[in-house]
Amino acid sequence: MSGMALSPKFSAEIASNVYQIKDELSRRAFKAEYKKFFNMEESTMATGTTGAFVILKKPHVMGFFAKGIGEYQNQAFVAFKGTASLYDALTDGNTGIRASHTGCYVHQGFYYAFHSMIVELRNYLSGLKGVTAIHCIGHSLGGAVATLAADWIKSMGVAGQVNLYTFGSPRVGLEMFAKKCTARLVADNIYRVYHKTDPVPMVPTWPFSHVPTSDADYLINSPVSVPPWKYHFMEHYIKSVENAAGWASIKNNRPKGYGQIAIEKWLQSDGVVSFTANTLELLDAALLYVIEKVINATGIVLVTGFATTFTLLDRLAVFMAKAAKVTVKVSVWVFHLIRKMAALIGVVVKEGTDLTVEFIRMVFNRVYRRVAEMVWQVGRQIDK
Amino acid sequence: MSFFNPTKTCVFSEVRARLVLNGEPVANAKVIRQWEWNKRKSDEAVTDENGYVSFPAVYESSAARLLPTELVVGQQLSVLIAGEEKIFWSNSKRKPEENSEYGGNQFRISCELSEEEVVIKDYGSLMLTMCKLEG
Repeated sequence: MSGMALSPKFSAEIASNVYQIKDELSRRAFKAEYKKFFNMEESTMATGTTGAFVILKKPHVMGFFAKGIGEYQNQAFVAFKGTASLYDALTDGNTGIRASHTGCYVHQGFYYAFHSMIVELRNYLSGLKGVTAIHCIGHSLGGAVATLAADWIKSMGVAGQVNLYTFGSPRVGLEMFAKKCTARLVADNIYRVYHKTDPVPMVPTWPFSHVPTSDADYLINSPVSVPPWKYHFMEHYIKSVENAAGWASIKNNRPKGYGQIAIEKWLQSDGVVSFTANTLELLDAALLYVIEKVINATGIVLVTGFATTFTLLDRLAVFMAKAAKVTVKVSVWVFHLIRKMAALIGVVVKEGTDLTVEFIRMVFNRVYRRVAEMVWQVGRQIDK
Repeated sequence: MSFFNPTKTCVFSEVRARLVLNGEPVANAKVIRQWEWNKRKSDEAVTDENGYVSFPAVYESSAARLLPTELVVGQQLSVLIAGEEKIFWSNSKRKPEENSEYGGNQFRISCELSEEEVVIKDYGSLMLTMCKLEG
């Protein structure tokens, strides 16, 4: 961890309190609380005043930009709230991916959410004078937007240090984005906090990756609960970090991924496949494993240049279908993977079945729908 | 929150407040209660001769509750004294249950309007008020 990091409690409170700028009534207490930390003089882009407090409306309130004062002098804050409108995109297998503002593939829904505010953000940053650190903070889908913001702000060279704090954030982009973003921000400046039983960080699934790509982050154990998404809420994230002495005390090594042997064994096994979070994790690992194997052995690329937008699952299907037709060394693993995925949706694939693009696409789409259903169930409040 | 209507949400709990100014009850004054979940709404009541005012609980429904999103209902209480509106209680309701404003305690407050408002963070939200919880 590097200097000028916000404390776990302070960053979690901002991630929660950013929700309280949504209307004038709720904003009053927010302003009273943060006037000792932020310059609360409201700026409007229209009058050309910058450098103070900006509430971002697009058309609903999405977050704020603020300049620190007192102990946060020479620091700026960029915070986003999660928005309901992005939930569809999160579980929609047909969503596209797009090259981010820094040139790597990211989830299209998050891209557009960030893109809608980039003019305001650019104006705000250009009005900042003498800022040495910028803190980007967000919960849930706001964490995804904060990730894109941090990545872009760092690439602009506005401040020497850009820190990212996310709570229960979904995955934002493909592996290349995760790697580049981690390298740009430096892993130690990324504070990804998530509860083990929070379902949102589990999506979108393959082949999206989390930032940072290093093997340590801030995983907090949480019980399996009813309703299952209880631990997605900021109330619990605040409770989990408020007594932490510092980031180091809640830092955890990411659970060791499934090793090559475990993945290969799982792919080759014939047992019944049930649909659980653990299966999802294994499937994730297996899919990345097979993709890597294909790329290394054949040079077939998953994402070809120039396409600005496409349906990821379709591309993945084409990729796998191509791979199934090349050397046996690779195609056998593609076969095992598709067979395993098909088993998840109750389809039996026999040895020698022709893996056409259409068939693979059907399997991918149906499995993805099951994943989405799982997350949506999680999102459905039945009783309290 | 009801089993049969999972979207039903308490947007303002039943309130009983006693208003005093420099130790004297604020009698016969109009109190305005406002809240905003999806839309700004309000109602009004008048204090009695001892400065007491009360409002019933308000419930609303929104499909937004079917998503795992944070609940935020802006809330405010103000009183008209000599034609001037004085806000004495602001909050964001972050949970759907009745009485979540004060962590499950009944919403019974007494307010000395001459005192400074302070931020209260004990109940999972940012509350700004000079009022004290009774009991």
